[in-house]
Amino acid sequence: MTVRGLVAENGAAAMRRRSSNSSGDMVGWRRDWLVIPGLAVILIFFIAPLGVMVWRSLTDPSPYNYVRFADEAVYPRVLLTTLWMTSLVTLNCLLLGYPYAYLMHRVTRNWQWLLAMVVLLPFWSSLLVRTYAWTILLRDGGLINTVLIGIGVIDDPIRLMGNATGTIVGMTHVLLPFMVLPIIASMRRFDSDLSLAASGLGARPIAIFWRIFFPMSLPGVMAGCLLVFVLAVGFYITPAILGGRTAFFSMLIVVQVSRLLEFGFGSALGIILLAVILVIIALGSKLVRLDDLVGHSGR
Amino acid sequence: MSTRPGLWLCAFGAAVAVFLIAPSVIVVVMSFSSGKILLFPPPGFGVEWYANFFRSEEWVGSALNSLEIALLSSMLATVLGTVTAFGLVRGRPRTAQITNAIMLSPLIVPLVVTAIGMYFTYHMLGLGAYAGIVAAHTTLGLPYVVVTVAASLYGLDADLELAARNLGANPWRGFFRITLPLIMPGVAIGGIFAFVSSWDEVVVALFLTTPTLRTLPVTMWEQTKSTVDPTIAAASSLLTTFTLFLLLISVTLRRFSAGMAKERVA
Amino acid sequence: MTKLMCLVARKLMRSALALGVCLPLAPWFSSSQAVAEDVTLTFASFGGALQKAEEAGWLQPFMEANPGVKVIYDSVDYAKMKAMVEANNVVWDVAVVANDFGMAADEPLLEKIDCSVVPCDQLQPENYVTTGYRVPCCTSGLAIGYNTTKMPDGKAPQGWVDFFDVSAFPGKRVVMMDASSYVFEQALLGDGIAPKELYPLDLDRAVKKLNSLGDDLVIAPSYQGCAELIATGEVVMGGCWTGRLNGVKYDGGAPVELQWNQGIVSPGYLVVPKGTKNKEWAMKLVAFITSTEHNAGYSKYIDYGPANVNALEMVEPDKKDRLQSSYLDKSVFLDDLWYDKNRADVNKRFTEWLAGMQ
Repeated sequence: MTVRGLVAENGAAAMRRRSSNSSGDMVGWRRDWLVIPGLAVILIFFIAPLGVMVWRSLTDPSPYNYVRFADEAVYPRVLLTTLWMTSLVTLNCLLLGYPYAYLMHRVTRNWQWLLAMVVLLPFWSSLLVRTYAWTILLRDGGLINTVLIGIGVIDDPIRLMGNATGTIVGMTHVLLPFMVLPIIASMRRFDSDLSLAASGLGARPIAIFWRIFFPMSLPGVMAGCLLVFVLAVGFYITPAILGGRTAFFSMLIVVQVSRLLEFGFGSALGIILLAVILVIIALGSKLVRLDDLVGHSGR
Repeated sequence: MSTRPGLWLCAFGAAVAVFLIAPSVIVVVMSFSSGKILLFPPPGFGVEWYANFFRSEEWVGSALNSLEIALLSSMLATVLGTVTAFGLVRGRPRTAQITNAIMLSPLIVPLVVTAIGMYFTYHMLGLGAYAGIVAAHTTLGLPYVVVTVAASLYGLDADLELAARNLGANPWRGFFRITLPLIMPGVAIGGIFAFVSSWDEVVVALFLTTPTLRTLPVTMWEQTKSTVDPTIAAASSLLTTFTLFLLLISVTLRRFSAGMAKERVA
Repeated sequence: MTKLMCLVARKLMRSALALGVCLPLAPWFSSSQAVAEDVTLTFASFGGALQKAEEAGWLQPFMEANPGVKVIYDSVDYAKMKAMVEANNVVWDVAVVANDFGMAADEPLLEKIDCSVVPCDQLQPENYVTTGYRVPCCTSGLAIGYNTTKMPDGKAPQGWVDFFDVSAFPGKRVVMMDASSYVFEQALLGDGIAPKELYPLDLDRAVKKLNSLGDDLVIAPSYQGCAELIATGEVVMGGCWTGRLNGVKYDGGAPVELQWNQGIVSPGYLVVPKGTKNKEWAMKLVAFITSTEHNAGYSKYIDYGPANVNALEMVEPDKKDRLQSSYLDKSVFLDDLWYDKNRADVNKRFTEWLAGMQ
């Protein structure tokens, strides 16, 4: 088989993936019922409780809860700030996470394990403790500022926490593994014969990367971005500790529910956040498809 | 892996690695502090906070509870999630869109709202604290497994299964012999996410735990609400060490079975 | 990773069997009732170092005085208490709450305190407002803490006016990050309003005063972080909880002093959730904790003072100057009656201020 044929074949397989998937029982047995157990668990143990709270947001005291959100300017404003910060965190994770995953893909197995360990390690210490450790690094008299002043880069400490910087640094750290791991999973399936073949044909490494490798890793990138974004939107502890005056939407929900005991209004805020996320996911899934097409028919 | 990674890529990767482990290193250093509060650098060094951890029934007990709950719920989530992802990607039910949204919902819905709903609902269902928290954490772990396994399945050539089928393998055999080994990285990563999501979960746990059944994050949460002493750092460092230990074991095991696995994947 | 998961999964098989057994049995375990005459009470409070003090100072003596009664400890959470009462599944018998809970708005969640058992009249009703559904158990609050090495030639801030005086005391100040830490009161006192005339709070004026500090104002990352920023000298002073300030001063050995003048008192209160199955014993426990003999019992273990006026004398002499209850004549008291009606507004204004709206 010629190399060109190999590349084309692989691209075609990727294209076919969508079309072949649409015929539910192409190998002769129906498998859609497999979603039922998982679906049932989520419906009973998660959606039903959510339903209780939706009901509550409409009846405790009344659907006015939703009007109140729009009436009081601070809520929409904080929501927008939250989405903006979340986007920045997602972008940061991608910019740091993709090269890291790529490096992991390229190195030998032993190095791969070391890098994987480094990614997984922070997972196992509590979020609270990790966030606390960041305050030691980031504050005015913290390690980073002390070192920077010591080597003469700056004269006065720079504000690294108590503002948006702190929130973004802390959240990027917490969420980076959620970006790296799905990307790694998608890179693993990459057939290295393909790049070998392409370079044999004289393709430059950069071209191989952008034409073949990157498009093939896109499903992982998309999974990673989706994970990071939706997780980030609901963050509470990290922005509360590192963000200072940068209010996050979930902090408002916690205040309503835990401090003011306004279960109805707190639920309404939660449902609104949920609705916004669903819209973004819907928009995002269109983008994913576009990228996919660009990636696979780029030639 | 035809060429070695460039210097810049290595340097960048090293920088990211430092970023990832810096807070853990700080925590470990602080755990050996001889001071009574978490100050950095510590006034002196000692192991009294580790002794404090192991002496305390509260810390050790809640750590064991957390481990048990996280293992159980992540295992349930891994099995259910893999099956669901398979049904979603290969079965393509007509309701795929809505199913997807429902499966992902635990990731998106702010937990503080659902935690209260769970409290009411589980009480109505007659679930006790243990079953309740395992059920809740299973639902929280499920989306991670579904997302990562689905990503693996999308990238996997469905023709492979078709080929296996044509060669006479029944669907189950095809799944276990061909598909499952190929998507195993995705399954494993999803399972790890699910484990961690339970292990570190505090909001729902605060609502569903009882005085006789506490998890580690709940204990930690209480600690940080009052005085923060370095026992937390010690607990956290122990967990990190524990992870490292598990990973080392798995590396060793992997060495032994590397040849076999390679054969199967190829 | 694959191998790791397999390993874990294999280990798990045993637990899986356990789950199969546990799932059907768990409901019975969870709702197990105390047998016969033995009583088990659940005391919910804020945990941590406080838990050790509460257990050693109150709960252990109570159990010794009442054989057959067992008191177990849980972590308090207002929302959980509300959910418990609504679901009629009340697990807590006595709970400790802060002063932002237990007034008229929360009455549906609480049992009325039985003042024929509890010594209500000794619990400073003139200072600590209640509507009969809570009693104060302990005196805590926040005060100005300052780093002695950062003070200009031996001066020290005398009150909140000095706190906001950047020319006399140059440097950064830290305030706490939630509306329940009374940042607005600090600002208004700093603007020269007399403690007696604080309420109703002039929120606009408070925000203006806070903003006048500009970049010199730092928001604390946590209650503990508030005191630590002073200890390390990153800020020169701050309005922090006194327990945390004492912590860095006495335990941490940091050059931190407290200015008790105009300290803001925020006591802890005891409440009994509505629908407790042991109401009678709950009231007995409340009475025990607030009694002259035992109220100061826990001050031995933590820097919080008693609420019972007669119990103040029971505090060990060397502990006395560490407790806010020793400085009540100089302290500022909160108007919880006003707060009961305006808490949502204060929270909203605080959030707006945090979000950078004027």
